Parts: sequence; structure tokens; C-alpha cells
Amino acid sequence: MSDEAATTGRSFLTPFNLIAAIIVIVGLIVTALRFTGGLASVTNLSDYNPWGIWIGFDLLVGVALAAGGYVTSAAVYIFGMKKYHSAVRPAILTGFLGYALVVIALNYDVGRPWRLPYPFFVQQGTTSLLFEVAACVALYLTVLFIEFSPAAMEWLGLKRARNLVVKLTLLLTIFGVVLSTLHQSSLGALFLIAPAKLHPLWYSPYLPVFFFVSSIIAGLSMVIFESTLSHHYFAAKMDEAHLKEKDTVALGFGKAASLVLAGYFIIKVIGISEGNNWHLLGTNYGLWFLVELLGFVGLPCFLYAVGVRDKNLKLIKWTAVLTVLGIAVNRFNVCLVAFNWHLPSEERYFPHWMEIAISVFLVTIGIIAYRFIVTRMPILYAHREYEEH
Amino acid sequence: MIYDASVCVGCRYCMIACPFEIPAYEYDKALEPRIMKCTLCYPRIAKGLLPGCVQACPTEALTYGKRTDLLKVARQRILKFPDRYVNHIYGEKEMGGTNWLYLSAVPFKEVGMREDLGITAAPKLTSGALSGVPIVVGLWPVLLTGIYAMSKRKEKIANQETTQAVAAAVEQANAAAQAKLAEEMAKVQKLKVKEIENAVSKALAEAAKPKEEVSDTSSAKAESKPSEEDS
Repeated sequence: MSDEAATTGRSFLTPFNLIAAIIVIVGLIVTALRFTGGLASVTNLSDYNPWGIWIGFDLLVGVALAAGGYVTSAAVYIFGMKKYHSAVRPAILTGFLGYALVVIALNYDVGRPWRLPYPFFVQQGTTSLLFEVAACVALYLTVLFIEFSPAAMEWLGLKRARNLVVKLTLLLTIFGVVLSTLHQSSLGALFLIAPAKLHPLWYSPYLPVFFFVSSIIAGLSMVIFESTLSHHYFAAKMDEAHLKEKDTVALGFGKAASLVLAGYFIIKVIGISEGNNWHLLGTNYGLWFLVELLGFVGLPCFLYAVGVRDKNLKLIKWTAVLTVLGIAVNRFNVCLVAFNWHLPSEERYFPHWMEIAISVFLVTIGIIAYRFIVTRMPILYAHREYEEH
Repeated sequence: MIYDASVCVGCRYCMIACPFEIPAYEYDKALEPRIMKCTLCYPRIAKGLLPGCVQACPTEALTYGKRTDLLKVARQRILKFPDRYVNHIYGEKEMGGTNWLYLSAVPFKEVGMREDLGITAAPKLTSGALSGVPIVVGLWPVLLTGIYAMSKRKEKIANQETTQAVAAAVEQANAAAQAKLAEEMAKVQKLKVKEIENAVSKALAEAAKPKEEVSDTSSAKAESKPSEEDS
């Protein structure tokens, strides 16, 4: 993924492009199989396990990791932390691409994807949590698209439309936070309906709160993680403000993440108390729960704090990776590992390689789209004509 | 319960929700997969017939009827044959009550039926979270606008304070500079006066000296004159 190839397009035979091409070809083949042979031909899903990694990873992890958009825009436009302004556009772009990929992944997973608008236009099942999920995904994807559009319009030279959308920034940000609150939490609330299937250590009436609070952590950490990657691969595309604010963003967001992780740790412990599940901590599932709680919540909370105190940017960056991984572990636990825990092991689900291939395919498409956009549109730099914003 | 395939998207959330693992899915169908589940032979019931399984059962192990009637029958059977049945009607209260009711001779656990399901109906488990939606929609914008207003106000006050402080500092600096300038001017004035006095006294002293030196000193006199005019 060299900058030259990315910016000039002189040579397409870079290692990145080759690997990406292979992944895309495999992905397209599996796509064809999925839409001709049905889910049975490409997944290990069963009547006991109706949701696999396309929900556990693509939907749950994808949405959590796309939280950087609302977290950053809220920090800058609502809380007035202008020193993080340069982080807004990359975060919004990641959020937009993340949500777009979630919707694409859903098209693979549901039986009749062309009916996805049915819950709005044909028959509204408003008592179902999945209705809320659908409504929020649809609305928030739209909001993210509008929030992202100024960058595209600056690139295309649509000055008046761009200025109009920029005037809506505050309104869109507030709308985005409302929708994200509802949507992030509703993904946790989905599992409230299955107390008989989800392990008691993960099942809690606070699931929606857990999902919402941890999405803030995911958003903050993703911004740090992503800015590190962007700086590595697209430094040439960054303007002075970005390069200068990069470390400020890492320090500030690391501090915030440490605080929110501490709060999340506490409410997770309250969750154990609420269900009085202390005795389960000694079981195998309990040990795995402790790994998640101590290793992926407590540890990053501590490491972020140390990193910020010592201004150790390297530590902060690696902690961001650990935290993002931890959020993925949590979503996998709720959706797959601790779900159906009562079933005998031969009935448990493990993804088919083609399910993994589709997930990798979608992530690759996301990276390709991100690269296409940041090498062309003013994401990592301010457009010359609009610098004063 | 019946199922309308014409509006089903195929999300399979019903399968997630069902604690009895009843709904099945046509995973092998690419374009029109449906959820499969017993509807108690709804088309037959509509025609006034018994469900197929009830009609076909040779030992009448299955009974069909109104739920309230079936519960009465079940209770009577348990009372009449306390040795034959466990004292529990499975499905009467489980998950809020189901339309399949079971009597058993052995504990239900032994025949693979879960007894830890609780008595809350599934929709009630999520209705609390759903009732939070309008509250978030109503309160969040108020809260967020409030935070925005506060941060904006803080910024405004900070700006005001900065401009005020800058103005005050500039004023102070100006005053100090003025004072210093005046002081310096006074000093310079004094120096000049002194210089002139010196020059004058020097000239006077020289004028009092012998005549041959006049040609030298006249230039010095000429120099000191313009400065006299300046002041």
C-alpha cells in the first residue's frame, strides 16, 4: 500500500492491490454461491444457530467500531473541543463506510434482502426491537451520508450545496448522537429477549447500556487506531493541522477512553451483582468472562491512563488496538460464544470459511473505498477554498 | 400462531427469541426461504377440522381444544391420577404461557424440556428497552443543545475576558510607555539644558582666553548654536 501507487495510480501491481484483488475475486465467487445456493451452501448456520459471524462480526462489531463518527463530531461540535477538529472528517468517513458495509452484510444474511424496506413501508412491527434497529440503521446511514457529503462536494466543486450542508452541522450532529444512542443500545437490547440462551454472566437487563457505553470506548479507540494507520500510509495527504493535532487527538481521546473504560468496568461489575452471578465466575465461562473484563476492559483502562500520564504515544496506540479487540471479543461473546451455551458442543456454531471470506471481503472493500476517498477528497486535509470553515 | 411468508424478510430473530427452538428456516433456498413452524394446521382448523396430528393419533395422546378447557382437563387428570403425572402443566406459565400444553409422567427435565425459562412473555423482556426510545428522542436533543449552549457561552465569555484582558494590558502598557516617555523626555530635556549650559559656560570661558585661539573655538561655538535653537 505505497503512497505513490495510491496517489498517482502509476502501477497497480502493488502487494496491497494483489491481495485485495484476490480477496475481492473470492468474495464475488462466494457471493454468487450465496445468492444461488442459499445460506446452507456457504454458512454453518442451523436452526439452533440462526445468527453467525455476519451478525456477530459484520453487524455488531461493525456498528460498534463505526461509533467514532458520532463520538468525534459530538466532542467537537457539541462539547466545543475544537482542538480535535481535524479528527472529525476521517471519523465520519469511517462511520459512514462502516454503516454502509453493515447494510451490505445484512443483504447477505437476511433471506430476502429486497424486502429490507418492508418494515417501514409494508408492515410495521413496532413492538419488535429489530424494528428499532432497522429504523436507526436506515436513518443514521442517511445522516452519516449527509455529514460526509461536504467532503465529496468540495472535491466535485459543488460550493453552494456544500455550504448549505455545512450549515446543518449542529443539527446533524445532534440527530446523529440521538440515533447512535438508540441504535448502539438496541443492538444489546436485541438479546434481552433470550435470557434462556445467553449465559447469565453476559445476559443483563443493562445490556443496552453496556452496548452504548462500550460503543463510546470503541469509537474513541478507533479514532486513535485509524489515525495511526492513516498517518502511516497517507502522511503525504495530511495537512499541517492534521499532523499537528494528531498527538493531541491521541492524548485527549486516550484520556477519555480511560475514563469511560473505568465507568464501563464499574457497570459491568454492577451487572454481575444485579444478577447475583458471582458464583459463576469460578466456572469455565466465568474465567472467560474475567478475561474479557480484566484483560480487555480493566487493562486498557489502566494502560491508557499510564500512556496519557507519561505522554507515551506508542503505548496509547497499542492500547487502542487492545481496546478495539476487546470490543470485538465482547460482541462475539454476546452473540456467539456465550449464546446457546447450554447446547451440547456438537450443536454449537463455528463459522464456515466462506462466511469468513465474505466478512474479509467486506472489510477489504471498506479499506479500498477509504483509500479511494482519502486520496482524492479533502478528508485528511482542509480544502484550500474552505480552510476557514 | 400463524406465519405470513409474504412479508417475512428472513432476519431469523424469531429463531433467536424462541426458547423452545421451534422455528426452522429453509437455509437451502436462495431466493424464497421461509420460516417453518407448526401452525396447528390452521387451514384445517379454519374448516372446522382437528389438527392433523390430533386426528391421526391412535392412542389419543394429543387433545385439541380451547386453552382454558385444556387446562381444566389437565388439572382433572393430575387430580385423578396423581401417580401417573408429575404435578405440573408444562406451558401453562412458561414464558408467559404457551398454546402447547404438556403433561408428563417423569420430570420434564428428563425429557429434554427446560424448566428454567421463567414466566415472562418474550415481548415483555424487550418492551422496557423499547419504552426508552421516545425518552431518548425527547431528552437527548435538549441535553445536547444545552451542552452546546454552555460550551458556546463558555467560549464567548473566554473570548470576552481575553479581549478585555488584552485591552487592559494594552492600556496599561500604553500608560507605562507614556510615563516612561515623559520621564525620558524630561531627562533628555535636562541633559540638553545641561549641555547648553556647559557649552555656554565653555564659550564664555574661551571668550575670556587670549585672542590667538579664537579661530579654533569659533567653530565649536557655531556647532553649539543650532542645538540652542532646537531646544
